[in-house]
Amino acid sequence: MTDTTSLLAGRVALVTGGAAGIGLGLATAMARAGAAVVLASRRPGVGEAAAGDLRAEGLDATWVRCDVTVPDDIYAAVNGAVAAHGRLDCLVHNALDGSTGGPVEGANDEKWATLAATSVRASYDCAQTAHPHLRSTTGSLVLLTSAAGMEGSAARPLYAMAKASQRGFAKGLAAEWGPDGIRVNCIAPVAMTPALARAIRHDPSLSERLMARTPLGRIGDPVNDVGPVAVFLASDLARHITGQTLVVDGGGFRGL
Amino acid sequence: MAAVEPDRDPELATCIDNVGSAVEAAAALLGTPDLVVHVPALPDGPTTITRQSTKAWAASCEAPMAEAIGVARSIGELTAASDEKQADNAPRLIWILPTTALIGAAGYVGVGAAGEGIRALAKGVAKQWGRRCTTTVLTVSPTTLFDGLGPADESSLSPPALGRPQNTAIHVATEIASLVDLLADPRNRATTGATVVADSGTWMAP
Repeated sequence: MTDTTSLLAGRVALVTGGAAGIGLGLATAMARAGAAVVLASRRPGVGEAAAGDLRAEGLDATWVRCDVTVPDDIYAAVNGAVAAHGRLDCLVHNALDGSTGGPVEGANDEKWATLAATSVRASYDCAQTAHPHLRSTTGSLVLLTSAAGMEGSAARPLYAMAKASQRGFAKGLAAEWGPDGIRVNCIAPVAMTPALARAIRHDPSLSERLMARTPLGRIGDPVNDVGPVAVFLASDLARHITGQTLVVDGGGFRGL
Repeated sequence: MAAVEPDRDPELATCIDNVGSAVEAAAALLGTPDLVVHVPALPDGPTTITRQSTKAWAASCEAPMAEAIGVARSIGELTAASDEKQADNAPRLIWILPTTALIGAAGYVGVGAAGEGIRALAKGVAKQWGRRCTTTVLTVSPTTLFDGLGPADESSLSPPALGRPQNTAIHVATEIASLVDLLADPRNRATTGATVVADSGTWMAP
């Protein structure tokens, strides 16, 4: 494994939905690369415990309560991170209430509102709040998307739509923020999160189906497979990359 | 044929029912449609995200997506009981978007987000519906159908290989309308969920 322990030394990263699953994987990898990480999430018990585990490892991690559907929460989380650390170099918007599934005929305002609020609306609020801080550090914004957003999903068409909109958001904002030196990119991961593990317990054939379409023959790990991509995008190694989506799924989706 | 201007409520940005009702009203007049073309409402001009109000953001991004969901839901409900063997008569749903929705443009972050979202919806419902109803996204030059998107908004695009249309109205009435007609032809049974680019040769990748 490549040594990334100093790639983000002195940097500050905030990760929404950072207390569990993919978000925690990204935050862990970024902290191990030297960043001070702020885990922003809704549940205090889970968040404090996750930050505590990272600190026990000798890493710089704090937790802040943040519901990404509440603009004031995003404002407080971002500005709190800057107040505590003096800067913000990377904001990762990972949180999403993606539980909405089923045919589009079942869609209603409420279902869509939840998805839109946690995806594009939260991205808009994150971008507005973080812009002056990212500009002063020529930092980066990273959004989590999904291959479903590129190939569409019969089972979860609205989830795929929300994820796709994050890609479109990143491409437009990359063009807009390029002159400020701020990079905007997406990561599209498939990794063994608690949510995926639950889905596999519910439908054991899901694991087989995933493996069958994954050339590298395994489901990724949030910390060691997906995390390094966030480290890369937040680091100077990616200083000339913006508006892109990196698919981190073992080769399952190759359509770009 | 029915032209419908839905009751849009960009402030709330939750127009699913409004747009769905419009499609259902048209279907009540004409029966299940053979072709539905949805041209989402887009903003009148560029706005950087840091200067964009929440209301303007919702109008540029969330409302077009909600409208698209409303259209898709209505068509899905109208065709739910249809016989897939009657594929020759299956309705076709076409969304028309500006090319900038594919690659993003400064000042139009919401448009790009909505465009990619609608493209994913077109793919998802295409997979869900199969021969019940087919979908296509048609992307056109930003200046063709969207008054607020002028040539300056194409700054990140290559010049169109075929040149800019001399007359937008004639271009729409001839080239674009002909393409819609072609896509809607019952002999076109092999296209669904796809994005067809008709922007005079601006965007050629991949």
